[in-house]
Amino acid sequence: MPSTVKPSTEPAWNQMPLAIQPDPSQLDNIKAQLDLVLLALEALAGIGSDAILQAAADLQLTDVVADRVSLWRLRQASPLRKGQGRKRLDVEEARSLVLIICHLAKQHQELIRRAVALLEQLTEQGEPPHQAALLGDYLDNFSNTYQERMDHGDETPIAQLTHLALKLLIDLLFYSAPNGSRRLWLALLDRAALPASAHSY
Amino acid sequence: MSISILRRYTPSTCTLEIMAKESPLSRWTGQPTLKQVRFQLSFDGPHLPTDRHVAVQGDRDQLDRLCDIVEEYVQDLLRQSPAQFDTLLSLTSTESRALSLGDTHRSQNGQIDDRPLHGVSHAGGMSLQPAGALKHALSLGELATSESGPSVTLSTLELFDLANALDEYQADTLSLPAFEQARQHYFSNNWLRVAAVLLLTVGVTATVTQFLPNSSTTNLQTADSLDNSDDQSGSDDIARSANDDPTSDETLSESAEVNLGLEQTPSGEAAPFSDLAQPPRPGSSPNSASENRPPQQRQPSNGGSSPSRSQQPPNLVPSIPPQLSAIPPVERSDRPNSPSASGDIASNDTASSSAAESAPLPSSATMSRQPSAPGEPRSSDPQQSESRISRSAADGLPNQAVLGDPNTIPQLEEIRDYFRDRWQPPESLTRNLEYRLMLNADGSIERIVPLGPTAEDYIDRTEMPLRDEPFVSRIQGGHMPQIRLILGADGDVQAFLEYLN
Repeated sequence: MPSTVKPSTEPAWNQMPLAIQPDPSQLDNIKAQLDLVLLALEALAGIGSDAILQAAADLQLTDVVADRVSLWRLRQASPLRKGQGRKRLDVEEARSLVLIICHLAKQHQELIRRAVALLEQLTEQGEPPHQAALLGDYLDNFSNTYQERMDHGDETPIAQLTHLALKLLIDLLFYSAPNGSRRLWLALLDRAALPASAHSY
Repeated sequence: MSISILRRYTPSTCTLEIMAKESPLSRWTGQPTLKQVRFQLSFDGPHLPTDRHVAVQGDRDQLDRLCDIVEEYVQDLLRQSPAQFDTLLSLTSTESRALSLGDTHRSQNGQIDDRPLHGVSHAGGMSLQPAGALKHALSLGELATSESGPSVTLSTLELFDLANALDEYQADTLSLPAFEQARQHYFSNNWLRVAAVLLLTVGVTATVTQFLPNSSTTNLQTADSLDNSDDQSGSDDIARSANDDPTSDETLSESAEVNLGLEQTPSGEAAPFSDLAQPPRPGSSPNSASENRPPQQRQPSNGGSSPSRSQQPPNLVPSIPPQLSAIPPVERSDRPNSPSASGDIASNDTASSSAAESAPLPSSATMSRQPSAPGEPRSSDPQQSESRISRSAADGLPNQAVLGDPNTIPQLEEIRDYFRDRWQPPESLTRNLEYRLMLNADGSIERIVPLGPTAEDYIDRTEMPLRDEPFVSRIQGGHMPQIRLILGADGDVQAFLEYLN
């Protein structure tokens, strides 16, 4: 797939090298991943499309993510979604979403840290994560939204969704770091080699 | 010599301190020069009782290894599929270690995840492995002490904080003061190399003068004749007059000392490096000392391989000759010391130029220098001389062949030409890109080493030729040179010979 990367003055672009060009099937995986990470942010921090669009504006990415419609379209590109996302997500759009995600994660880093700290504590004690309200709400939100939006979502066992949500929570922690966009980008490219189904349950 | 703490990184659950001793060379370089860089890493989160705080120490190499391990482990962690994460979350320590030994794991839907959850190991015995229940076992290897024990178990938050501190440290390395590097590590640490460049400008200044062939001391006349010359590109006269600096001997030993990994110590050239390092002329030095190095610019008139050199304004020409005349003649017999020093100078120049944006050098030998009054006798601004000399040296001028400088090969100019034709810095690029190129004897590239994350990220935009592709001409003598290439954010291209194998 030809790269449609436009010249950008974003200094963060250099955090996301294009030495590896994802092929179309890999982009599918990337789309799925990006949508899931955004879902995790939504479920944990109540981030809605307003916050995402504001982040796009802050990062001067409005040419890629201009309004709710374009945001919806980008997220609908995920192959896991109902309707199976036929929209192709180009590399620049993927990069923009990476920047937006990490920007939002950074903004909510305290919340993410608190959630991870609670998770660690409960795990060490052998207690289920739902015992902490913050985690319980997160997991409920995540499961509900996933089931609503994803193809065959309501057939996915809750336990699997819980594990997916917790994995994404840990990922969000690392994406909230200053070099988070680089980490996310590399993780996307790495994981893109795995079959798409490996990213869902 | 006191130990000073250069940097302290204090995320919530650990503290990383970078320490160094100030080298006595500081007095000659006019800026902090550091050696014996060490680090101390303490896991001292508020959630831990004081008696459970763990601290380890090590040198820079060990810290760099730790950085590599942690970075790779974090990426592995992120790369896991949800199925693998389940395992990380739920397994006990024993089970997760068994998993990390290479067993594959079947995900719940029966697919085999073909990238099992490995830990990351490194030479020196350090490793990081999953320890179940969101914990990670950091084996300390050579960093272990009796207090720390062989390993430390980190929570995911502690791992996150550690990774961030290490990332910040790596990002900061370019802006840290110069480090004097152990000789054996000269070519082994990119970060040190770049940082050390900051140190070397003044040393380089005088050193350069050492390596040009001797010419008659009567070149005062020649130098004077340059007063009227507008041609900075270096006539032979300039190069020769540069050799007349009587203080060159002094600079050689000092620069040898400060140069990274310089194996040879010039003998018989004790030289009061300080003489050169210190502004010999009140009139000129304060000007140069106070000015920052200007941004790199391409000089169409010459090779422009060194921004500092290439930017010398024409009006500097008149001032240089008198100072050059102060440079003692450099005997060709001094040559044995030249190669390494020149090579270091080259790399120093490189580093200087690359460090230009990050750290203004008070004693910068470059264009910041104001022209001194023409006709002033030998006293000296060795830095001006140096910039002249190094520029002509770097430009691969005909007089190079005459001088027989073994540290400039024609391929350097070919490399510069190659990239000048192609290098178009992206708008988003704000730093220079530095690469180490190892060439085969046939002129193709044996290896490209990007120096720093920016260089890595932008390599696909540099039009870097591929390995084993035809690149430059065959190297005479069958050498396999190691070249430092700098692609400036402003479009400037420089190439220096680091090492002629």
